[in-house]
Amino acid sequence: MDERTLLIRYRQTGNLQDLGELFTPYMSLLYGVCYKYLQDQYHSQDAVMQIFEELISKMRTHEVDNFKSWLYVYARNYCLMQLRKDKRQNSVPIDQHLTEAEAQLSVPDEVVWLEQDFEKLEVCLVGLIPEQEQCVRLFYLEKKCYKEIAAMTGFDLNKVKSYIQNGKRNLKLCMEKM
Amino acid sequence: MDNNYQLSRIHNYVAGLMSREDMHALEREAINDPFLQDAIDGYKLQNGVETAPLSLLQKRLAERIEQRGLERNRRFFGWQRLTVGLVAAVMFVVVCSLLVFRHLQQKPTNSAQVEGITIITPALRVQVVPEENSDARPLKGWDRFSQELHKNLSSYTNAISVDVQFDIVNGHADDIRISGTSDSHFVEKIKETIQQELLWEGEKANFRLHIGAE
Repeated sequence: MDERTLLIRYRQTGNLQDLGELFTPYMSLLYGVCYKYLQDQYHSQDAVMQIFEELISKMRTHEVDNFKSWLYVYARNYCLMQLRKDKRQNSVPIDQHLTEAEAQLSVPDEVVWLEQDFEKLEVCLVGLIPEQEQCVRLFYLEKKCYKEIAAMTGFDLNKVKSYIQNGKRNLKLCMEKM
Repeated sequence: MDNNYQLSRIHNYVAGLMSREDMHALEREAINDPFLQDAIDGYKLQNGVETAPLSLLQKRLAERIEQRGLERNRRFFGWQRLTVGLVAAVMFVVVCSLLVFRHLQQKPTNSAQVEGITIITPALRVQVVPEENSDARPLKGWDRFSQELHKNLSSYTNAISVDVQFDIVNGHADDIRISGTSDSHFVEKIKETIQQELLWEGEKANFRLHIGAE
């Protein structure tokens, strides 16, 4: 049974088996997400279960089109709220994650590119800060993985990822302006 | 995409077991899928995918779903519902008892026909008003009784009321006593009507008979 049918059926019947069927495929991803923010196995497990508890009522009242996206945003917000509640666990800089995650939420562009788009891209690439330009070129045009880019540039792995994400966002903004 | 497949990819990626091409493909995928990216970051921080916490989570979820089913059953047979059910059952029994009691009380009065029976034939109007201790009823019905009266009293046109009493022995009227008139011929006609070709139900007859021209 597909997700949409399960969502509708759960909203109508409240049968927890249906919600379990929806939730289970994302449980290991959710655990990873929670671990990223909470950095503790037990807290992460509890968070996954607590998210499920909250979904029991939320999924009966909210109309959700894309369960995966909805679940991710809900889980991330839940973890960030947990961090805010318990400052002692605040081992991850929230602001950095917020910016990163918000940047990631942009929908991938699947439009057909024209000749002038490539020209715009080249202009905008040059306009990026050198680190971003270098990482974006290596990742998108030369298809290098983060590890390779880190080795080639000497940047830290996290920096590489950050340069690519921010470079991509800046590139998009620049091309929309032109 | 299949969850276990994604998990094994994350495991291979974090553990450095992937080719550079596969790593790049997963990174490209993750850059457009923040859910996947955050999960990869999380497992990286945990230094790899560990199956123990995930198995435990699966178990907890299964137990939670099972528990909900039990809760539902408990709620279904909760004390509130049981109390309401019990009260409803008691009320049902009380109402049924009252109805049966009332029915049993009404039965003798129905057969005694306290309200009286009026039978109208083309020429005679016969009204039977039984007393309370009377349970007599013609086996062929009051219509037939009235027709017999009509046959026997066709020569009478004046209104008359008499009290009739008799016992019923083996369906036959016995010891018929008629009072309220001095017309012995009329009395005989009524006695004949009661006796002739008529069988009776009950044990005792005690009714007032009003006969008048229509």
